[in-house]
Amino acid sequence: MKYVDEYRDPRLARELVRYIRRRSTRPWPVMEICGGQTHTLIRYGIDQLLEGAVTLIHGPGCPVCVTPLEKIDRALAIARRQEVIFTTFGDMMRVPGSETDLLSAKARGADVRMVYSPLDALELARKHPERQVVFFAVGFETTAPANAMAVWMAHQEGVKNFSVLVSHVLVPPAIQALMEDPETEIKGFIAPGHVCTVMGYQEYETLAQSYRIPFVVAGFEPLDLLQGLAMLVDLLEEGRVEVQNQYTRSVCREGNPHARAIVEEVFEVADMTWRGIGPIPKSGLCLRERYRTFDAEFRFEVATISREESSVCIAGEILQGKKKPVDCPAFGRECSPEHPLGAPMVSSEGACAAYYAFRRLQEAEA
Amino acid sequence: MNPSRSEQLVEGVLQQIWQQGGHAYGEVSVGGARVVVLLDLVPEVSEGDRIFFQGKVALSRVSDEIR
Repeated sequence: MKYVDEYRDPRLARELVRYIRRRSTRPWPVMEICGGQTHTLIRYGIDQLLEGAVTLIHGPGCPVCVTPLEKIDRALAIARRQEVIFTTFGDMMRVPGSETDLLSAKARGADVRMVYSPLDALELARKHPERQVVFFAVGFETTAPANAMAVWMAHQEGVKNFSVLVSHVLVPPAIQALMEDPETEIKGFIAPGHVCTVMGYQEYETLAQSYRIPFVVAGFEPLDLLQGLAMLVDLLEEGRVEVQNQYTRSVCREGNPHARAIVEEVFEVADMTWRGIGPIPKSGLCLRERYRTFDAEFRFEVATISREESSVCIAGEILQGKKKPVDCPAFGRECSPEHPLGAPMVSSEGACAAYYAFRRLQEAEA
Repeated sequence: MNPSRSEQLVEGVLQQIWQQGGHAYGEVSVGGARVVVLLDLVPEVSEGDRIFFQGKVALSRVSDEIR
């Protein structure tokens, strides 16, 4: 397929693997931030091809996985209300809250609907002025522009029955938190290409200088990641601290100024709790005061609902790259995509789901 | 076509552009499917361009540049 096969060429992949193995003098521990990148690395066995040259540590870049438990419970509390149509992307439907998930709530009568866009949710609000339509605005910087646009359009049009339950997180503060951990082994980062499509990579230049670590912004296809890793190994071997961009077909240093402007207009930076990790200062987004009437937490008075994480699931350590999914005693036993204990097993970008889909038989044989 | 997911950008080819209610929209073909997306955040795009979108909002023009 045009524009796909070019990035999966096995001959080029073999050359890049050979280059990285030849160039690397030690197994460099590097983290890929994004869950989409984790899936490609595991699906194509890139981590195994590079064993001994690069040690891949999987990062916390799955938005579904880091959405805090209490947000899911707040979503459930809102969704159960008679007057509410609760809308969400499909990957949030089965993420477990403290007792149940949105799909189960739907089965028990709640009006929960899967949509492809917050704009679809806004359209529902226009069509059903007698109902309250809520969209679960989850994600990193990639999803923030569409969510901001929906709120801005609702504001402009005076749509009063639309609101958003915001659970937005930001990548750079999470990297900062990881690098502040005295036990961290990370020597370099593969930065998330889609986040950088929106935000650019200037923030990563500051992080690179602060922590003396190199970054390479990379895409999501196998050759994107192999080339990104080759560039990162070059930087590490030469002791260079800089940010390079492999994903030039989508990312420029400044990102998308229009997308950044709408995010800046609607949202402001706020402290945020990450599921499995805990609170990280200034690592999330909340609605600015002038858009606060669109905040579902205030509209439905659920902001006080709080929950403690389960002690069974080790998702926190997995999200921080301290453990692999296969290190969890529940992996593939009590915890599976059908019966998940934690969000990383549910989400299409979760590390546990990636290992379950592409690695569990291998692990069982070993 | 990508299912309903939170984070991933979807790539498609812009087939047609029009204005409606003060906004720019485009029809994008994605693996045989047709999707209408908002183009307000990528004013530089034109018909025939490949774009990335998320939640039916276009976020970037994808160039042919390969590093």
